[in-house]
Amino acid sequence: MIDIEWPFATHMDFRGQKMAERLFQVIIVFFGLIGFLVGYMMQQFSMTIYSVLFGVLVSAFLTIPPWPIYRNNPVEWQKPIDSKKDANGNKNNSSNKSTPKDTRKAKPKKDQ
Amino acid sequence: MHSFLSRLNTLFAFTISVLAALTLGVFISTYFEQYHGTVSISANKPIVKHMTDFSANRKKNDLGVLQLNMDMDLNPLFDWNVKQLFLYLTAEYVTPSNSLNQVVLWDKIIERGENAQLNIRDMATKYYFWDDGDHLRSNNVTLTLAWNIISNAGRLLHVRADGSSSFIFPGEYVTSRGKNSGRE
Repeated sequence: MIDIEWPFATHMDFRGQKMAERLFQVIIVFFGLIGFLVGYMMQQFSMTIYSVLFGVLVSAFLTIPPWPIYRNNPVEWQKPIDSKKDANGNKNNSSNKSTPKDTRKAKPKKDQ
Repeated sequence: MHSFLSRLNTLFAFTISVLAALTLGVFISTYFEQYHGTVSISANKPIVKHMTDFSANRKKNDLGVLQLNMDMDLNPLFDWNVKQLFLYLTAEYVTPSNSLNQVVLWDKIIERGENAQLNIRDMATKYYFWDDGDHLRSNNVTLTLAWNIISNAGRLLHVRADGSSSFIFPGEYVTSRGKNSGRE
């Protein structure tokens, strides 16, 4: 998948992602239903489409930029343990907490 | 959902799904609509000529010439699922060689938003009324109007209008001797 390195941070917490996804789903379905009723009253399907597109605009504004509310539950990284007792791989992995999604983002940004 | 592009992608995909569901809703809401209508049609000055159809073989066939009057109001047919109406006028008659002949004399596309109330007087037919043979003289011809409903989402419906009219061609040919042949 195309992944672009923006000059600013674009990540969200997991909890923030969940909130954002639920939010845009609700908004678009809401505008879709409103649009369906309005379109049925006016007998114009274009009204329904415009209503959904307006809903998309609203949800795009609310969920695509990484607002601070989506960063209220940051992931709790463990403190790095400087020990050479165990096999390298084990300790390195646990201190970097490399989940597949955040791998590319976590490494260059130490100030998360 | 961790970057702009993945959020944009999810949003877009969800929007398309919602639009598909709404389109299905539109289809279901007009599924039982019948789209009937009434028209009044009449024909003026029907005459029959006997000439060579140069676009077909070189035999001489009967050519019917007439003018049309039509009145109809089709505005009630345009609900939110109708994109266009395709109207066509058919002439039906019986000949000794065929039990049913149908010739389309005129058609029109009415799009949503255009005026759907037509009051036509003395209009020449759009297409030629050739008979396959020479059986148009004194023939009783019925003019019927039908339309196709072209939907935004759904089936292509074919509806016959209520109101048809008949006329009888004269029993003699008209010889095309002067300029005044009755057809522009």
